[in-house]
Amino acid sequence: MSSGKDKISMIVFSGTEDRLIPVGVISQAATALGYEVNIFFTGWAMFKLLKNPTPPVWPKEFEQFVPKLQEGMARIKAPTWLDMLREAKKMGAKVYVCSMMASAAGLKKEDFDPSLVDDVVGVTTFLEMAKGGQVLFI
Amino acid sequence: MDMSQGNRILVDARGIACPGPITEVVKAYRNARNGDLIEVWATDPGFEPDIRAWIQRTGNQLLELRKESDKIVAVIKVTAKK
Repeated sequence: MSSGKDKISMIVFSGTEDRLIPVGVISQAATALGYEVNIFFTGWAMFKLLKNPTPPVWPKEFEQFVPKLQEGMARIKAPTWLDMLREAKKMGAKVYVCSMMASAAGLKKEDFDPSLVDDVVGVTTFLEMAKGGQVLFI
Repeated sequence: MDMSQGNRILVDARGIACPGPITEVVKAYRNARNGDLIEVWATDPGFEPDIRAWIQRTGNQLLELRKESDKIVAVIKVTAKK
């Protein structure tokens, strides 16, 4: 039975498409189930949330499988990871950007898509939010 | 207690990949009341274990879960709304 206390927090670092897909899937499913969901974008993943995001990147070692995977995703009508993230946000997921990485990249809160990013926060804030729940590093 | 007979709500999640079907169930559940029946049609192969997990988590009742040739059908009785 749901206690209303379940919580999952994700640190999204890599930013390659293969890793962003599970970010979308897990956040959508967890919010639908009533989990509190906090997603902290840092590293290379942070650039995916800009008003002008970086283009999709796949890891070199899997590049040959990408067309097949994309074909399969289209066949099962899987939404994009960004659509899933938006769905999760509608249900209450919160998305944060790491203030340290943002500063290092010379980015301000205004540079990020406000429909995606709730706030730019420090790691202390994130750790406090994540406390007592599950944490994934993706 | 509401003594009136519940509504029957159909959720057609055929052709939607995981985690879409459960998301659709949750959306219907939010607007449902105790006593309502939610019938779900899905084709995602993970739907069968997923709906069982959802039932276990939420404490609602799974009246039926059957595989048809072209879809999985689940009938849920809403009993756990507060």
